[in-house]
Parts: sequence; C-alpha cells; structure tokens
Amino acid sequence: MWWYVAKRLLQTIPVFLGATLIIYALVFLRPGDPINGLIGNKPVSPEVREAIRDQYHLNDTFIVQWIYFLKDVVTFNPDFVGLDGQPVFEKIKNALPVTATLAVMALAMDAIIGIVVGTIAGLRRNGWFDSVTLVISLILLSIPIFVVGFVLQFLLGVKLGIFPPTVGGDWSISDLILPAFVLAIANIATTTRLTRTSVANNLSADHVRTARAKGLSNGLVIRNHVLRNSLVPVVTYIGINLGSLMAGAIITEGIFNVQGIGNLAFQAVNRGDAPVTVTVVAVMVMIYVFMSLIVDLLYAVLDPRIRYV
Amino acid sequence: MTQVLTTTRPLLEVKDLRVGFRTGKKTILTAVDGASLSIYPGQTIAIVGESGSGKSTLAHSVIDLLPGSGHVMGGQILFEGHEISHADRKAVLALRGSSIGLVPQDPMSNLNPLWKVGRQIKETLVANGVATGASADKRVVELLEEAGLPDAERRALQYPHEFSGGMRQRALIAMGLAARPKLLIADEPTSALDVTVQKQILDHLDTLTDTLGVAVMLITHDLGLAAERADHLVVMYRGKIVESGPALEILQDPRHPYTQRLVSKAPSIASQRLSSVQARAEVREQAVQTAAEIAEEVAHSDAQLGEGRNDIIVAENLTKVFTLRGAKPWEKVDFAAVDDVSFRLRRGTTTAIVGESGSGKSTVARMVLDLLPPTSGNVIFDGKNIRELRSKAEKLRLRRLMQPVFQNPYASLDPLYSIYQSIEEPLRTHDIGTKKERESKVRDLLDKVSLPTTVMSRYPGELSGGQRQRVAIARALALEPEVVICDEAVSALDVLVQAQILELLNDLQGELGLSYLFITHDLAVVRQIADDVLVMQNGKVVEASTVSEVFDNPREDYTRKLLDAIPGGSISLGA
Amino acid sequence: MSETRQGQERFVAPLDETPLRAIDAVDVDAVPESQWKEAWKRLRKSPLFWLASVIILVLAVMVAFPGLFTSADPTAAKLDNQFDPPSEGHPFGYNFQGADIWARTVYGARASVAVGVLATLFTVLLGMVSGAIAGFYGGVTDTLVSRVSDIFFSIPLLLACIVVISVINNVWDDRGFWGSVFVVVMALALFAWPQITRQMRGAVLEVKNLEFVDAATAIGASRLSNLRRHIVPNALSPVIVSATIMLGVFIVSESALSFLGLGLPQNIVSWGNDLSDAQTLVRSGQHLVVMWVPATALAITVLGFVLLGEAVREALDPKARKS
Repeated sequence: MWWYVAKRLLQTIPVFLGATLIIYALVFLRPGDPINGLIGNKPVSPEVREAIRDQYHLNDTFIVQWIYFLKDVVTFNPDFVGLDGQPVFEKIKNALPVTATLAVMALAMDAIIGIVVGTIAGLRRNGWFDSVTLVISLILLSIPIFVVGFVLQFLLGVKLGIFPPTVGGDWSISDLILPAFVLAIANIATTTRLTRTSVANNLSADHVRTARAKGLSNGLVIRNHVLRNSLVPVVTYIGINLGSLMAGAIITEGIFNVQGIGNLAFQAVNRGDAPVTVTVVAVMVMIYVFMSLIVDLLYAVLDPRIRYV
Repeated sequence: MTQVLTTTRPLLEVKDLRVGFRTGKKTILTAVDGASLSIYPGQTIAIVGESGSGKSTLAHSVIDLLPGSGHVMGGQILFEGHEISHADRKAVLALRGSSIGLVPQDPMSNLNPLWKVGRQIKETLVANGVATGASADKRVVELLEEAGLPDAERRALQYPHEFSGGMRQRALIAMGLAARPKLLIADEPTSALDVTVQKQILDHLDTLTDTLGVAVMLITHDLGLAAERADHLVVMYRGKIVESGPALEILQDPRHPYTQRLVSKAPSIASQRLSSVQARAEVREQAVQTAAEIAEEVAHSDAQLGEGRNDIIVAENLTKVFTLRGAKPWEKVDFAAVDDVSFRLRRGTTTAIVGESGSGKSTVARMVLDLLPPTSGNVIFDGKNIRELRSKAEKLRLRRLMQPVFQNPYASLDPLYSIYQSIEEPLRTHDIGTKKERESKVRDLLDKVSLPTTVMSRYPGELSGGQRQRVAIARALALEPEVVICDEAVSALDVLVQAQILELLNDLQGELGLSYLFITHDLAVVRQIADDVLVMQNGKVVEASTVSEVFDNPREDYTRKLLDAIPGGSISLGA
Repeated sequence: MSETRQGQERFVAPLDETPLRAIDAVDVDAVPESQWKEAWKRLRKSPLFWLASVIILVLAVMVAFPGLFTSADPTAAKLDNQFDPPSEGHPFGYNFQGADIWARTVYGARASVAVGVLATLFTVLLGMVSGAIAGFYGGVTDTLVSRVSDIFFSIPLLLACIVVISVINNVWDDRGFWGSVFVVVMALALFAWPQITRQMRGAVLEVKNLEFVDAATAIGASRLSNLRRHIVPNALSPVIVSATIMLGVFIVSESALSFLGLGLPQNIVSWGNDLSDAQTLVRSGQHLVVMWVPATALAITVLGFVLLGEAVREALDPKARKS
C-alpha cells in the first residue's frame, strides 16, 4: 500500500507544477506594470521603482519568475509578499480556517442529507417519496446558488433572524450554518440522486437475493448487504467534492461576507495580484489532489477488491 | 414393475402453479403455466429446460424470491402440507434458510464482495438461530470443511474475490446447507464452472445431501447432467411441464416431442457417439473433396490467391508471454498464457482446441487470427508466414481467407449496425462489387445460414443468441474464406440451438470445403464437429490426436478427467 | 423394479396443449428498431422529456424571435420609470434604471443560451477527441492526455474562469456581444473538458475490447476506421447525457460569473447581469421582482436541460434496454 501512496504522491508533482504554471502564465500575461497597484498614485523615482522591480524579480524572464515563486510557495516563505506588500502566507493562514470549516460543514450536510434522503428514495423506488425527491433535487440543481443564497439570507437572516445574515471577520461555527447549507445545496441534490440510483441497483443484485434466501430479515439484508455496497460510489463522489466546494465558496463568501479564501482570491484577481492569486490556486489544487488520494484510499478500505497497484 | 407408494407425505408439493410477470399496465406474461410436481424427503429431482422455459421462476416462487413484478397467480405450493404461496412475510422468513436453502447460479455475483466469506455464512447461522458468537465461528469452519474447502479456517477470513469460482460455489453450498434445510434448491449450481470443477462439486453435493438426507431440487439446462444426478425428471418448455417421470425411463423412452428433441440433440448423451462419428466422417469426406477441388482450381488459375497446400494452417511453437505488474512498481511477473503450442489444420477438416478457462486456447485463436502478436513462434497460412507479410495487400488477403466467429453472441455484432450493415461491412471494406451486387450477396449469405431476408433491416438487439451467431457466421463467410476460426462459437447457446448451429457449420463445411479451427471447453461438442483435437492445460498442449483416438483411447490423465466430467457420459441407455 | 411415488407418476403433456415451435424461429413480423429508435420510443413515453421539450422549445422561440414576447426595448432606460409598477405591455414593471424587466428577461435569454450551447459544444468536442484518443491508443498517449487533463481538472472551474476572464478584461476591453460570449465560452471549455475526456476514455476502453471490434479488425478494417465506425458511436451515450446536463450547468456558471462581475460585460443584456444588478436591492428586501423574474427564467431554462438530461439518461440506460 505504501508504494501506492508514494506513487500517487509522485503523480501530484506534475499536476501541481502544471496547474501553477498555467495560472501563473495567465496572470503574467496581464498588461500594465503590476507594481502600479502597489505604489498607488505616489510619485516614485525611477531608482525606487527599479529596486521594487528587483525585489519582485520582475526583470527576470517568465520562467525564472515562476521558479522563484515555486521556491517561495514550497518553503512557505514568510517574507513572500503580495503586490500590496502583505505576506501571502499570513493572509492564507487567516483566510483558510473559515473556508475550510465552511467546506467541511457543507460536506457533512451533503453527506448526511444526501445519503439519508437518497437511501429512502432508493428503497422505495418510484414511490411518492422518490418522486417528490426527484422533483425537489432537480429544481435545486437548476437555481443558481446566489439566488438561493440571497433568498435564504433575506428570509432566515433578515426577516426571521434565525441566522446572522452576514458573518464578517469574527466568526463562529453557528454563523456558518446558513452559508454552509447554501454552499451544499447543489451537491446535496446530486448526492441524493446518486445514492438513490446506487441503492436501487443494489437492491436487485444477486447477492442480495441470496442473502434473503438465507433467511435474513429485510432490515438485516438492507443494513448488511444493500447500504454498504451502495455507499462505495457515493463516498467517492462526496469526498472528491471538497475541492470544488472550496472554490464554490467564492460566491457564498461574497453573499455572506465571509473573510475566507474565496474572498481573498476574488480580491487578488481583481487587483491583478499574481502572487496571491497563484498561491491560492496552488493551495486549492493541493487540497483537491490530497482529497482524491484520501478518497482512493478510503475506497480501498470500503471495497476489499481494490488492490493498490 | 411400477408400484405406487403412498407411505410418506411429499416434502414439497406444487399444484397447478401459475406465475406471471407484469409487463405493462394490463399485460401479464405467464412464465409458469399450470405446473405440478412433488418432492419427497431426501429425494433429488431435476427440472430441465432451456432459458426462458420458466424453470428458475418455478424454483424462485417456492421461496418467494421472484424478481420484479413476478407473482403467483394461481395454484398452490405446499411445504410439509402447509400452503406457503400466500404466506405472510414472517412465515416465509421462517422457511428460508432453515427449511428451504438455495444454492444460486452464478458464484461470481452471489457473494457480497465487501464481506468476508465466513461472516456471510455466520449470518445464516445467526439469522436462523442455529448458533451465535464463537460457536457460530467454529461452526462456519466446519461447514466450509464439509463443503470440501481445504484450509477452511484461513479461507473463512478471506474475501470472495480471493476465491476461485469453484471455491465460491463451495462456500455458497456451505451457506445453503448451513441451517440444515430439508430442501435445497440448486439453481444451475455449476453452469458457470469448468467441467472438471463442475463434476467435483456435484459429486460432493450428492454425497453431502445423501448423508444429511436433504431433498434437492436441481435446476439445469443439461439433460445429461439431470439424468445423472436425479431420480425424477421434470421437463419444462415455454412455461409448461411437458413431461415428467423417472429419469432413466424418460431418457430411454421420451414421449413428448420436445423431450424427444432434447434427448436426440443433447451432446452429452452417450448414444450420440456412434451416429455423430459416422455423420462427421461423411461431412469430412465431402469437405476435403470440395476443398481439394477449390485448391486445385486456385493453384492453377491464380498463384496470387494461394498455393493450395494440404496443411492450410501450421502453428509452430506459438508462445505468448504477458508481463504483469507486481506488488512493487519495479516488479514484473512474466506469465506464459500460451507455451510452445504447435499444430496443423488440414484443408477441409476441423481441428478443435479443448481446454478449461485459463488454458490459453483463446489466446491461440487470437494469435492465429493475427489479432495478437506471438512472443515467439510462427503461424504459417497456406505456406506463408503471416508475420512476414509486409504489404497491405497481402495482409488484406490474409484477412479475407481467415475469418472468426466469436463466443459472445451479445458482443460479436455491433449493436448500432443493422444486420444488413453487419454482413455487408466486410464486402464494403474490401471494395467488393457495386451496392446492388453486395445486397444480393447479403441475401445469399442469409439464405446460407437459414435466416429469412426480412431480418436484414433489423438490429442485433432484436434477435436471439442463436440468430446472432448465424449472422456472425454469415459475416464471416462474406469474404469467401478458406478457414473459419470459431472461438467458443456455440457455448453461450441453449442445447437445441447449439445443435442447430453445429449442424449448420457441418453443412457449410461440406458445401464450401471450409477448414475450421474450433475453440471450445466442451468435449461433447468436439465429438460432433472435429476431426483432430488438441487438449490444452495451463498454456501447454497436453494431448494432440484424432478425435476418435482421444475419445476411445485417451493417453493422458487430464484428458481422461475431462472425458469423465462430461455430464451424462456415464449413462448407458441400453438402446 | 422402479418405484414411483404419488405425484411422481409418469406424465406426458398432450401435444395440443404444448405445441412445439421451430427451434430458434425468427419472428418475421417484428418491426426493425435500431438502438437509437428504441431509445427515442422510450423517450417519447417520458413525461420529463415532454416537459423539458416544451421548456426548451419556448426558450428557442424566445431566443430567435424575442419580439414575439414583448414590444418593449430592453435597453431603453428612463430614470423617470424607476421601479414603476406593472402596466399595459410591461407585465413586471421597471427596474432600478427604469428599464422594462420583462423585456430585459426576454432579450437576456439569447446571451445565456449562446454561452450554454457554445460552451457545451466546445467542451464536448475537446473532451471527446482527447478521450477517444487516450482510450484507444493507450500507452504513452494515454498517460500524456490523462496527466494534462488531470492538471486542468485540478483547478476549480469557477476560480479558473475568474482568472482567465479578469486577465482578458484587461487585454480586450471592448469586444461586443459575440466577443464577450466567446471569452466566457472559452474560459468554461478550457477547464471543463477533462470531465468529458474521462468519461469518453472510460467508455472507449470498455467498447474497444468487445468482440465486434475484433471481428471488424479480422475483416481487414483499419484501426482508425474501427474507432470511427464502431468504437466512438458505441461510446457516445454517456457523453450525450453529460452534455445535456452540462448545458444547464454552464448557463448557471455564466450567471455566477456575471454575479461576480466577470461574466458578460454590463452593457450586454443577460440574466446574469440583471441578477447581479438586483443583489443590492435584495439585501434591503425591496423590489424583489427585479430578481424574481430573471431568476425564474434562468431556473426554468436550466431545469429544462436538467430534465432533458435525466430523461435521456433513462432512455439510454442499458439496464432498461432488455435484450
């Protein structure tokens, strides 16, 4: 198994390099002198300007700049600053916890609601619960997340006051319940559909019939032979989504004013702040890559047939 | 003398049972129509029929495990005198496992892949209140040993995927018998297994059920197997029981036309031997003659097309080594799927390659067809080494002269192509004829394989397995090949359809002077179609000889084992 | 002596009750039905499909002839009309700028649909070609394609689009309707294709080992003609389903980008822009109609494609296809 982990870790290197290179190149292509944003409208002597350019390696070729950037990222260099002069990792350290909490909460909601509802729908396929679930999940899939966000913010936050309508810099877990739910909605719909299909297919599997023939009660058959078998593909889907949830947080964070990674990325992009933008993307890519590794390993735990090769 | 005994009560009585499936809002498909049968304690009866005859449906209705919309529409099922066809859930639960056990058909899909085998058997013990906890664990090991699984203690802690097919079937037998039921329903328990394994397992099941006094309802498509294992036979056809009675009596004196058909066509039954050998000899004689004429003609008219040699295919020391990945990234394991195989196929005759799964027989076929390059060794087609063909024209010519018919009738035709398109494809690929000429050729070919031309516009999904194999044969014949390579071409088919296709192949051979390389796992089929035979095991040729030599005078143990394993081979009909 | 017990006497069914059929007889009267035709037959029975068709049809007419639905000019904005209530010919009244809400919604369909359709087209094209090549040729080609698609897949779609579009905004400022659509389409397609690639690759791997492909090779068909004639057509159904659903997802993505100010430029009439404009109003809980109308239009549109995808999935499901 360790060979498999090692191999997968090695495979992440080209993905990491490739992804950062693409984003770095895109941001690099942006015209204008990036340090204008840094010095603002103050008149600056050419010497100072030159010194700043040197400090940011802006006079080097593109590839050299990229390598400098990689060095800073890989070593978590605390002196690595964005174009506003603030240390990048300091910012990420401040923004990551709230986004991670948000994403994990969304993931938990996705898993719990999606699996429970999907299982019930799958066990009673074509019954009224299944039909209602189908309609609701298709509708949820169709409404843009920010519309749902605003509506829930307005209803539950402003009108009824159950949840705080905005989160702000000082956050607590209970503040994040509503944003996490909004973030999770589309995923819940998909997880429900997936679980439902998986459960329904498994119900007609040969080994389930054999289990019934053994004299097992219906409850036992479902618990031991339908549910776990059905969950294997669902777990994979849920796990792989942590990355996309964090990216989806850009919008949710905007609506609820959460000072997280999404906000950070959005501001950095608008400012043309290459160091921050690319670092945030790099962090997202790493989270995605590690989540898919964990999901693969989890898959092997759930399904003994999977061999690590 | 026949004498009716009334002393004991039947264990299971099925009376005038009707089972249907709902296919639409108002339409119902009757799968079992008025079936009646009785099983006495400790007795083995067999229900014989082809796919779709309703035999499995009948069995499943006994333990209330009908799939989907299946339901009992009428009649009675009495178990120990109690009506169970409309029993409540609790009563049915009490029956399952402890009174009626099931050994299902496909060992690959009937164990839950996520649980250890031992645990799945233990479940049965716990659910039926036989044993719990540590004593159940102990019992599981005993049961697995009883089912003939060596090293049971370790095996109980393994997962199904670590078991071979035969081992899984043993585990399923252990499971079916775990709670000591009075009746065991064995639904084609060995049809997915190799013949030698099949025999071992059935022998074991026989002894076991005899010792335990368990009655067995054996569901099978194989009349020979049924007659060998059961004392009472029930023959089903299109949902109805057409004939039933003592096994031997039915074999010797089949009265219903369907049973007569079955008895006369079943490849496994001994009486076939004489007639088939004789018929085969006639076919061969005719085919060799036709082939010689064709070869003569070819050799004189156009040297480009062939040399008309007597040995149309010669395989020399064919070897195929696959490299598999090991546990560590740098580890490679070499696996010789085919190891030094040589044979020759005489023009106008049939050479069969027989072996069990994993023997490498299909790999040989793929190498001969030039679909897979051999690691070493050569295939010489009519004097030319096929690996030395360089020009595109020569390669295409080889393709024309040698055509395959594959095993799986569901995968051998492109589902998106109409039958016409499928058969026309080879002609189009080789730019033969105008559109009109091609169409009349397709009609001819369909006629040759006895299919009406109305099927031309239809699609493979609408035809039966046998019909699809006919289409596959027509496609193979479109280019007027000299050799047809049949890779398990009849093994997925029902007995009667199989016999029909074999007859067709025999007729075509006589008519067109074809040479066949026939890959099969079924020795019974070999006797009907082949002249020479190669027995393969683990990639090597074990025995190579003429068919009559192999059947009458097998030299190798393995060959003998294969022959012994033919179900029904031991039955003498005395006719 | 053979003993026979009660209920096990020799029984032979009368032939007139159990007539014999010819072995493996062909049903001559059956109507030919290709897989696609069969799928279409199932599709026709699906209520989801008809609902989706109606939605998509109405949408198509709205895109082609917006004048049929409203006579107002979506770009005419008079501050005098700000938040005017509904009136004759203006069923939902006016927005903050004093433009007709309904007219803007009708004319906004064009941009959303253009982005959705074109982005799906490019994504599927890119994904199908790369996936088919990777699955069919295997080996180094496969590794290469798979690794490159891994890279693009690892960057979250929305984040990647934000970066791409913000960069292009600085380079190509005034790009008109089609230019703007093109930029959003390219940004979406550039980072969404790996999803189709993976699907296509898997399907091709499955189909390429089927016996009919070997049979075609044995006939003398070239590898490329096998890929084109047999493998790709048989690997298509999962991609069709994905593409339909993807269309809806792309329409939502465009509105999300517009919401962030990075979709289509402000001067283009689009649902995303209208929704983006509405957000400040929603926060105060007033004039909610400004949001409801485009949001409903958007949701119904996406629902149309999601429903279509669902119906097509069911129609193409191999389990439903009894053979």
